[in-house]
Amino acid sequence: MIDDHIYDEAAAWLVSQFDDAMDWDGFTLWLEANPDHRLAFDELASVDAELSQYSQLLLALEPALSPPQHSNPARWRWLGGFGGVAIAVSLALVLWLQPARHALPIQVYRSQPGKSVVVALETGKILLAPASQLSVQGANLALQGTAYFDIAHRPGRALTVSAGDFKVVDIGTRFAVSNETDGVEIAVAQGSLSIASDRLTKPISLTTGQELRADRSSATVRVITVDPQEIATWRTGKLEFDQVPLALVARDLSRYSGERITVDPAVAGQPFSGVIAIGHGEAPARTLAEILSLRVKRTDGGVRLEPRRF
Amino acid sequence: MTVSSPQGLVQALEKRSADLRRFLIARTGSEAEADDIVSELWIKVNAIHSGPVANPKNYLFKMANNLVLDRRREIQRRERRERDWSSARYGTSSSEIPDEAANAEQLLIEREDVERLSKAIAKLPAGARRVVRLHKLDGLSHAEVAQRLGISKSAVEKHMAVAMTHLRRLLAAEVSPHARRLKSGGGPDDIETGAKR
Repeated sequence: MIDDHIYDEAAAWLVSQFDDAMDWDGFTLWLEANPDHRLAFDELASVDAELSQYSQLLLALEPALSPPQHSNPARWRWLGGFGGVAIAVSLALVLWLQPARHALPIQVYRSQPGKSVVVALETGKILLAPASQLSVQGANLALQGTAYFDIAHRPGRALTVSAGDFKVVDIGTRFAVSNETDGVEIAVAQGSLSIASDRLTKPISLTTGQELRADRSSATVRVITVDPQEIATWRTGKLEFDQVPLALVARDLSRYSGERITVDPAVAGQPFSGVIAIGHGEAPARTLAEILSLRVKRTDGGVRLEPRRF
Repeated sequence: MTVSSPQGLVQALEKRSADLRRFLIARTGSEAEADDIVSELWIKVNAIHSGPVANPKNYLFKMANNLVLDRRREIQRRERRERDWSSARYGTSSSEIPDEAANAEQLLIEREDVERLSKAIAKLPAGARRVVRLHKLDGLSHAEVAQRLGISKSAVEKHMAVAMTHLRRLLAAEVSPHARRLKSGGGPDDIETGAKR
């Protein structure tokens, strides 16, 4: 049993990590002082990671914030100085606005493995890649998985797409977003959009042929140049990989082909680069096996790639 | 600027590598794992193409700490996947690596996790709940949350710390088939089993 005060200390360290002034040497000394410190910290970090992982789904379940949501406190005090009338007016306004926020229904679209889904919105068309989920609340969208957006330009109307830690603001563009277990990628096929995130010091804009990549495993965010024709090639039946471990390649192929593909641990970490055509059933797994000289074995739930025995 | 900064980071890593290793040993409880992560850091830092970094020391420690977190998460995910997988399909070897995001079981697990977390969040003290919502769910920084609520940044951090200890207690107390991973696991034993597979 770990003491409560250890959890309190661990929580203080966990929270201060977001601070640029984090005292890493002090944290090291604290960890070294007692092995329980590390265990307590791991537990809290695990809860923290779950909150981040499910932030969009949790947000959908949270009730709307209670007022005063958008007011700044100094302004409230200032209004107070002018007596009851101003306050009454502001309250009425807040009460009137609040139900409207509640009333916006959330629509959730979900695609099964092996099948893409087209979501037609008033503002445009979204192609949802297999095994992905898009929730729509008015002009606020949240994506888990991968999708391609084709949004018509309308003056004064912006659409936001949340993907992990990132928020994309768009006013008429074609772009692809993926929010997967290994990271977030946002690529623009036409037009431009703005991206905001805690991980960026200020919002950045992306234009045609630019792609933002934020791997979960690293603190850096990169912007690279890509061929606009090669964005979201899964739409035309191609999956591209660049030095991706085989286990992840298998995961993606499973998802797009609808066939469960697993990988022997002996080759799971082997990197793969290349393009695989997405077909249904076993075909993509066979192509991959051929390229890498692996053996395909049928298992009861799908296929498994194994090293060849000589 | 793309040229100068990664070199700056590489230099910082050279200078700090003993401190980082010491931190990683304390953080993981294993010298072998610390060494693995230090070499991962070398690879990552050399592959980075980004703008200049204001505080390289903080950046490197954060990066090291994130690598530890990712490893812990991966071990948990794998354990759970195997547990769910083998309970769903008998006769399948536990060393299989099934696809991660694809199937309906996965979606069910997710829904269960989300419900569990959502219930725990609802039980938080009001102040802590509001800060969790703004910081963790809406994704505002501590400073932005402070401004929005008209409180100091350190008050935001206190609320967050209270929220995290409460959430941990609420989730650990729950009798759920998956509660196991929230107990004090992640010790040296777990790490070794994870690495062997």
